[in-house]
Amino acid sequence: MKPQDFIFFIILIGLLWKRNPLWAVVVGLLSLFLAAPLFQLQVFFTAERLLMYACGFLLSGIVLFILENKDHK
Amino acid sequence: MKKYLNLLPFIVISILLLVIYRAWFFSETIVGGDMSYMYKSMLNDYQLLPYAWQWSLNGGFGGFSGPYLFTYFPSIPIIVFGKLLQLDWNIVARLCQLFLFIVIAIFSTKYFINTLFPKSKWYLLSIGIVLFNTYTLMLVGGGQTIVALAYAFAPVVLASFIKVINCKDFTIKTLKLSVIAGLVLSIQIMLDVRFVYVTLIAVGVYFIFRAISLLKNRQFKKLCLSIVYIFILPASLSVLINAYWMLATLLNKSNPIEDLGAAYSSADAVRFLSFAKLENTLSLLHPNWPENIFGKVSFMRSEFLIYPLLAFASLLFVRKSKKEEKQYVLYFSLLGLLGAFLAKGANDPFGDLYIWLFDNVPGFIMFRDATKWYVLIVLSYIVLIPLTLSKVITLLSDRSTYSKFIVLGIVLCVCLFSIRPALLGELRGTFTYHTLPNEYKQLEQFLSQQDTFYRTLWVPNIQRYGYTTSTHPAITVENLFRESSVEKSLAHLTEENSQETLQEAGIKYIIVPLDSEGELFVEDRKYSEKKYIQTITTLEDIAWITKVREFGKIQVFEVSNPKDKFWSTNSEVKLSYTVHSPVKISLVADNARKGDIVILTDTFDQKWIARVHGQEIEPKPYEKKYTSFVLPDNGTNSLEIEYRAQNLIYIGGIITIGTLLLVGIFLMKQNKK
Repeated sequence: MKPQDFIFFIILIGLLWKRNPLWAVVVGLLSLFLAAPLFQLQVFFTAERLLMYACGFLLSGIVLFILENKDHK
Repeated sequence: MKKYLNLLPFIVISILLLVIYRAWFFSETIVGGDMSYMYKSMLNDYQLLPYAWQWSLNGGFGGFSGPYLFTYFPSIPIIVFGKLLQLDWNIVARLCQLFLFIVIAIFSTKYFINTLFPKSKWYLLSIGIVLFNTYTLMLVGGGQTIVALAYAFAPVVLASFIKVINCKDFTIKTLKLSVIAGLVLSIQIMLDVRFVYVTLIAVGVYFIFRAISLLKNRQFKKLCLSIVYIFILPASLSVLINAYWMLATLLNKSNPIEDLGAAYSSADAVRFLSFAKLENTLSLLHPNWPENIFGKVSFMRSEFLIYPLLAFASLLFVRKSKKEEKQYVLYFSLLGLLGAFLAKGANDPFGDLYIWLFDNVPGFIMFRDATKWYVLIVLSYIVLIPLTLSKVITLLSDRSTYSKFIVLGIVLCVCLFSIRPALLGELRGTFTYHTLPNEYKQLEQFLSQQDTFYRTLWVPNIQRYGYTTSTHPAITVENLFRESSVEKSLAHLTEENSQETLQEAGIKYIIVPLDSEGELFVEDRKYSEKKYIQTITTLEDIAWITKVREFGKIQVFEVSNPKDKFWSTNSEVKLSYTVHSPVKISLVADNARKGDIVILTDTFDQKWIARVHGQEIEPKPYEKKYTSFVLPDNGTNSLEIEYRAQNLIYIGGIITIGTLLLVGIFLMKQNKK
């Protein structure tokens, strides 16, 4: 595990604890957005990692939205 | 002014279609990738009915065609236009494959979007994403047009199933929708089974959303009925409609993937072929873009990140959306992530999970090439991207009239920039202009004018303008000597017994092709004249072959005394035969002795049977390769040779036609009500 992975898990746990899917989606989109210049600058390792984190955040957001739907029902 | 603005999307899509696909409209000859040229003689060789024996299998030595007979359905238009109407291949290819793909992609996508959002005017953007994304362009550019038809059908299949899943009650209307879903699924099966599997995964994920709701409300009866209407009925219908090939395949326990060997069924093959990484899949960027050369993967292009950004930004608007729209956004977002995960194959993250799926989940063995899963990403993005843009436009319209045009303009520019190789005509395969070389026209005339059966051996490989028919099958050195490389195969040609090997295989000509496309004599991915000359020199040094013709750079060498389709170990036996169909041959052997062996120079298959005076003769393998029969009588033996599996094709065909008639009658009655 790399240091970036620890930061990712800390943020992910924070988002899951907050149970706010919108924040998870925003963080996911931000990760995607930040990956773009890194790919352009050929900083591939970090860029690839950011995309994996983006998927993790987006998936969390989707799951939280689904759970939110069920709570509201 | 508003009228012209409404027409603008149509105009933009039409212009892009003409620009990107211009070779499909204006090229003299249609070839590229897996798509070879077909002469009229080859089009005339198509069979009107499906047969259980296909001459082109096993490298031109024939084989049981059961698992591949689903290809009979997409060949029907080729039979009609090419064989019956005698149209040229350049017209047949356009009508039956290329333009057909465009038409199906357009109407399938429109139907899909209108099913989900009946009032949406954004379906044109979805059509644009389907037609111009890099996965589509690499697929059709690589000549995989039949596969592309199955891919183009995916939206209409998914939409049909979503309609059934969305039904709240189970009425006759639900039954009708279920029957239609089965019908479209069966059409997709006839094009490519792998895309059926991918589409059904998408259906399964959507069904899980509904199933969770039913389970939570303890509606178990509805859940069971759902499973019947959504899966059991359409699947049963699809199996019955495809019975003409499925029955023979299942009863003969044929597994075409295992028959192809470890290269197709081993985890190592999956790891090797996992070219796409997560950044490629998430960005809907095909790993071989834009050159489409096998194994050549480019660096990630950051402009493609606009696609997942636009797609997943739809999640920002979920809370303000209506219930149904919310469900679609969550479902398609999940589908997009699932597709991105699977399409990267054995690459990180969690690549071993894909290997586990490949080894353990039934059906996953079909996906050694994980790029098929791009279909899920396409299905996701054609919904999410227009949704995001429509939400953004609605938000901006309140603030400024021109801001929506600026946003759309920027998005369009970035998207067009991402696919600039397509706009600039830099794509290969079917997107390149081709002209049929005169040398190949001359070669085709030379070979096709000879009525007798023989095979041609192409060194190093059959060129895409090569000629091959059931009377003159073309084979490669690799297939003949079962070697993994051309160099090893060529070495076999210089061995002592290779003359006998070629004679027994019925090979009359060895052909060194003109490599007009720079694909055969290749070194470091470039054409090598040195390799071409080395091949010619190797063949010229072989004493038992003679150079008989030259058509420009095409060299034709003749092998002396090749065997006919049928021959006997006793040279005094005189054989004459009539081929009634690929599965029925009449053979007369004169001047025979009891116990003489007659060999059919096709792959050995136990399903062949010979009948003489009501007596059945089982086939025996000859030299572990060919099919042979032992003659029972002295003198003249009249054999009726049949391929037994054909009966299953006929029975399956009756089931197929019967099912289609019943479905047709049911749907017509429902439409009248």
